[in-house]
Amino acid sequence: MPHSPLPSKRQPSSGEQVQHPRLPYAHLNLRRNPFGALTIDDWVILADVDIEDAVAALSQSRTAIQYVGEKGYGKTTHLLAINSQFPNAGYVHIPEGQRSKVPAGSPILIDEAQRLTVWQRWRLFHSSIPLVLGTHRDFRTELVRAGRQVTTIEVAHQTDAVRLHRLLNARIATVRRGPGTLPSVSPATTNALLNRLGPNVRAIIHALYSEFQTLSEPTEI
Amino acid sequence: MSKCDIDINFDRPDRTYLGGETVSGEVFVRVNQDINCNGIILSHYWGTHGRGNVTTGTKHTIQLCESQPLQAGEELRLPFEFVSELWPLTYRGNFINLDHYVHVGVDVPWAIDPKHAEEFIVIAGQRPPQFTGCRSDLIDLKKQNAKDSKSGGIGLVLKLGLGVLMLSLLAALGMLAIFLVPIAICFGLIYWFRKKAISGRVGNVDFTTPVIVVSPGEDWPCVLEFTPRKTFRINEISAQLLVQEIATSGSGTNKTTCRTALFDEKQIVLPAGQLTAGELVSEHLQIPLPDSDAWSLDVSDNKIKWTIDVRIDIPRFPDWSQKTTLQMIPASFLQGSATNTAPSDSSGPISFDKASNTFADHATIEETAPATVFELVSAINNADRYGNERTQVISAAGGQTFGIAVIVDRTSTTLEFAESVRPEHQQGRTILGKLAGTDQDVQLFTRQHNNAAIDAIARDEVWESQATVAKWDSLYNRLVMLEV
Repeated sequence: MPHSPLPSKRQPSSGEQVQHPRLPYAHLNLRRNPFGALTIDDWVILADVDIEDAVAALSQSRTAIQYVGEKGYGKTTHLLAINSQFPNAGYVHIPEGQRSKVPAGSPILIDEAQRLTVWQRWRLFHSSIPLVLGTHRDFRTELVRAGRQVTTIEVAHQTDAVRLHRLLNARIATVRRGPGTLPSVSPATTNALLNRLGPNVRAIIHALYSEFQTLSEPTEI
Repeated sequence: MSKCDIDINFDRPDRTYLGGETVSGEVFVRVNQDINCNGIILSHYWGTHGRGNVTTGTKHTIQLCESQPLQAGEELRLPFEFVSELWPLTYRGNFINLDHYVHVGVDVPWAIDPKHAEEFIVIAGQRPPQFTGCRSDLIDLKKQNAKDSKSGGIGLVLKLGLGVLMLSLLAALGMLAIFLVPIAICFGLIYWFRKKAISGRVGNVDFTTPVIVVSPGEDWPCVLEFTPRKTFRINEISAQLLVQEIATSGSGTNKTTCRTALFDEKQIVLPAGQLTAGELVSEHLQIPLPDSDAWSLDVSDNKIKWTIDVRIDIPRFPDWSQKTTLQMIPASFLQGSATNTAPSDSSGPISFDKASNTFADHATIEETAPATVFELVSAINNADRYGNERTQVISAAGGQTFGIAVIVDRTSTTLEFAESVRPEHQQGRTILGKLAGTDQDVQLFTRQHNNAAIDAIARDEVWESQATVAKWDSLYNRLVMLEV
């Protein structure tokens, strides 16, 4: 068995404190892995989306805003952020393979709107209640035919490197344990993730979760 | 600026409590603005975090302060005390973590309530009532968890809704039956033929075990017996122990389930060969279970599963296999504790009626004591991972004192009830790192008089010591040593 020379033992100076990693992620000055699953409340708090124009438009009846995009690109985040701005809003996420009742309220927010039944869609689109849809399918034609003022937002285009970098580091900041250094995600890493995974925020979060599990100290990655 | 700053201080600096112990401390509230306070509420509960959806247990609340106006500059010191929950225990994993929390909120009307939470650690203490000592059946903790979570009226509405949904589905299925029934029959026939084909070769396979509730470090006994109906070759008969974290996040089409293996080891019961028709095959196994704190867990979207898959691998033919789920719990829950007056019905090693044939019998280890820690590490690396060879190497080194140098990865306060810890180490520190000059991971329990020096140690520095070998930790592949 080869023996490597022993590193010299440094004499500890007084006053240094070692934070024992007994509490979760204490060695990173965090309370948990910032890229783990979020509660709905955390999701809303951390939403970094532009919704001011949408919120203003929803004061008009017969307004319809649809967020179109693939899974993991941020449709639900936009809907939840808008939902938090309207105390009387009605929100529903329609699970796959199931029927859901259209909620009461104003505005009405339907997540996975492509799962509405034909009848539900017809009634909803022809009503005058402001509408926000999260959908994989573009309903612009049907909405316009129903007399709606339609705004379509491709969510993939909402995620750029600057916004993503801000979002990732905001997630880290919200789970800070105490004063001192925090790990962070560099702009270069953000760009690399966008190049590798595209605007799929969910996949980027999952990749960073694994990265943070291997960190031994708060550094920039 | 927040309306209030809140600090939570525990009576124990390491915040570590046995299940059933009293957790006490003080909440410090510094008021920054004049507010009308409707009360200050403390709640304590457990919650998961990690890749799986967050699941929390019942939130137990304590009113620390009644409704009153609070003035800017005012400071409140509010003592608290409660009994910690018995289960689940604090857990640190890869995809799954479980922590216990003290949460304090100041109820401010028409405003966002100032709040703060701090974790505390719960380790195995008083035995939970659902652990009766019976080891032959899985302990149903879901009923306890269902009681813990918010239910009552909401659960009844949910059940009624599900009932209506089921009836609707059945009505719809009734109409589709003309298409579904032939498909179901086909699948059923394929399954039946497969089972018949397998039993036509191996016969009726008897796989029995006296216990499925187990604790770390035990040897789990089981018996595999069958009389082949035909002579045929096998690739192997094996027993694979798999410990997994299974974490599910999202819902619907957004649902993602991640699995990671904490332990995955296959042991060969019988190597490749031929089985003769009519000749009994009888294997008595003692499958060593690793030391671990990955207790079996099933809380909604966060699971830790221990399974053993026994398999008869038949070439160019469907395998016979049987998967057994084990329930891993702390050893103290089986043996009873100081505060638990109900002894379990098992004590000591797990007994089994028939003589056992341990894996150690398949190989022998020359039991010569290694002179240096480097020889010890070399012997461990040369020993077969399967079976008990490494344990025998450790036994050969028992009682011997080695001079060691540990390149420190991290240090922590020693848990009083950590495995292998002796009384003289209970107030000391635990050093995790590598033995200098090797790639061997080591866990070193140190004595109390070195605490100050160890607390000042930084990562990658060296701690030199004299230590004996306590055991081999097969879960983390590391030596466990005790400072002398």
